[in-house]
Amino acid sequence: MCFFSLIAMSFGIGYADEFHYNNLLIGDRASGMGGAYTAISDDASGLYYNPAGIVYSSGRNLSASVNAYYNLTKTYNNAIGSSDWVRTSSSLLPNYFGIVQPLGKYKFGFSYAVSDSAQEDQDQTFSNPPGMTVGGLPVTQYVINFNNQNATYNVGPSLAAEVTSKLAVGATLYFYQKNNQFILNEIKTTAVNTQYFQNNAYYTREENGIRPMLGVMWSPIDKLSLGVAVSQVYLLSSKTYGQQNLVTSGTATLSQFHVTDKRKYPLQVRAGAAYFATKNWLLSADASYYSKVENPTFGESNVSVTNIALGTEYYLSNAWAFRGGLFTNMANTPAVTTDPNTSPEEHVNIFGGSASISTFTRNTSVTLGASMSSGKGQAHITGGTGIQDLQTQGWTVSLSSTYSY
Amino acid sequence: MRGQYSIRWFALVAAVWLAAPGIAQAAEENWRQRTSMGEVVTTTDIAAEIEFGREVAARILGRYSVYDKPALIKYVNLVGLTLAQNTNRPELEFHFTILNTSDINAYAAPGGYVFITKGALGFMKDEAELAGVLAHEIAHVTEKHVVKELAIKGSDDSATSSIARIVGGSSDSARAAFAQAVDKAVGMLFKDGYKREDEAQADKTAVAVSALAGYDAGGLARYLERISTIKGSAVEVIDRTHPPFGARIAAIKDMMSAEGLGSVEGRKSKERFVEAMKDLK
Repeated sequence: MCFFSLIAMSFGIGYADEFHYNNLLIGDRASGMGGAYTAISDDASGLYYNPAGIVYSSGRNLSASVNAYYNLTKTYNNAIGSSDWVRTSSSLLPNYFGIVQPLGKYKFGFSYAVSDSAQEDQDQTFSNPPGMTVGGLPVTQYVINFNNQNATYNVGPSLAAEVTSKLAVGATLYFYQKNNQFILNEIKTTAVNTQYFQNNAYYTREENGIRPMLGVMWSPIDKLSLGVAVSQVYLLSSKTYGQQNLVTSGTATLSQFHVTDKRKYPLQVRAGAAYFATKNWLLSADASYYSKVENPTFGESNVSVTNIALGTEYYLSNAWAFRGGLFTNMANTPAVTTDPNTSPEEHVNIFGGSASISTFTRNTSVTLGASMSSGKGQAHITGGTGIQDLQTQGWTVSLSSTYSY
Repeated sequence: MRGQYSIRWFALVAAVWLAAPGIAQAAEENWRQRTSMGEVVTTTDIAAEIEFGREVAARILGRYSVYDKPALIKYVNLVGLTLAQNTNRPELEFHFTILNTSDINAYAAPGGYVFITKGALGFMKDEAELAGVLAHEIAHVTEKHVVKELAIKGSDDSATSSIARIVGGSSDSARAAFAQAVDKAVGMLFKDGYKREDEAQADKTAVAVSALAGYDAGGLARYLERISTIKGSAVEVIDRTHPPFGARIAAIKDMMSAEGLGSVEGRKSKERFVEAMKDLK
């Protein structure tokens, strides 16, 4: 059993949502359109989806800023005896900033994106949880406290050039950083003082690397835009540290590990199409493919994933626009099994929708957006062979602005 | 009187006919442009254009001094303002000045600031040629070539903009962008030049405006033919910032031929021009 599963052996705690690739929608316009932006990308948000698109940005100097509140709730049915266990993660942060500037014949950009973020801080006590025992004795009180913080940062420059009036290419070089820390305390007490279980675990992970992205945008005919962007994270350094102290009825077992192995990340290919039907109405669709990736040191085996997004934008007037979108966030894990040694922690496919409304002046826009997602699947988060039904519900609210000079 | 009416009619038709393909082409090229980004011009935009042009004009005057001949400057303003009355920008107040340099060139800053060099005046033969050159520069202003290229707009003090500034944490970035734009405009005038299509549009508009003002429409072409044979530092800037003379002259002549302007007798006012140029040394 690898060290990582030791942390989770008593009560599996996932490291935020590592099981999906599309957890946060990024960008002012894009997030209202379900993220279907690869073939549009003609503003500061485009730096994240397809840098080739900024060639077609209409203003001279653009910037966009998004401040968003995220909330994700996971309900594990019958996880604590016959009771459900609910985990809630939330964060409030500025998750995107980008700026585009002409540079001679090129367009230069710089952006910052938080592509994943979670903050969990739970303190729960369950009395007489059904079916839970220690040393054959029923548990009278089960206390679980944990704090989990996880964030993924992308920051870096972009450069784009127009090859012909119908073809543009671009590149973004993100510097990538992932920080994760979780602290877990579990205590199970019984009617007998000497019969108890205690689990104290501490885990940190810091990864630094680069995420280069190459993008192409092509308009074979007027009003139709096709875009492709390819990217992959390459880690330059990785530090993973874990410590766990298990105490079962007075007998303590301390485990530690320190690993510098670098994770492999999947190759990501985004392809999109956008139809600029009229000056008021735009339709777009994206497909994002993530390759299969194995990280045996970390006990991870991720399957290939394809996510789909559909989006539309409609201008009610010169001053108001409405956007809507649908998106998928499919699981990157194989199906859950009863084997605690090999089963992934969860497998749930998530589906969602988004909407936003923008008001414009000549130089600026302000956008209020929201999205909701939900999914049903299975989880294996307890020791033993039990599988739990899992429901996830997520929602976000964002407020963003753009400038054009 | 009737002949004059015919000239104006031909010139007006020519101007509209020449503009139409450009407008249609612009619509096709801008299929990515969304409704909210359409051109809505307000009084603050015009004020910004004038303020911006004033800054650019100050840079031009920083490079060259004014040719201090009040009577000659007054004459150039007379010709220029006559042309300006026949343009589509009545809200602008045009100002014309002569630069004290032997370089052969003319410049225009947004907002109506037009400069012609002493060197350029020295190679002109009649008032129609002066009108053609001034009309070309006026066209750069009226067609907003610099304003569009650099997206010069007025400030936005709306509530939406205030919220955007709070959400985005922006400070006075518009001021920095303004200074950048002035540098770019000066670069366009002295180093990079306007876009080729903008120069072509300015030539065509100049011919149309000259004809509308009653001048001989061939003045600009005659002047360009004369200076096209000059070599050396006097034409260094104009060579760098404009399309080749041959192409320009051919395009102007094609347009005049197509619109029948070549056969229309416009005024050249040679005597008045020569009298005014007595101050030119």
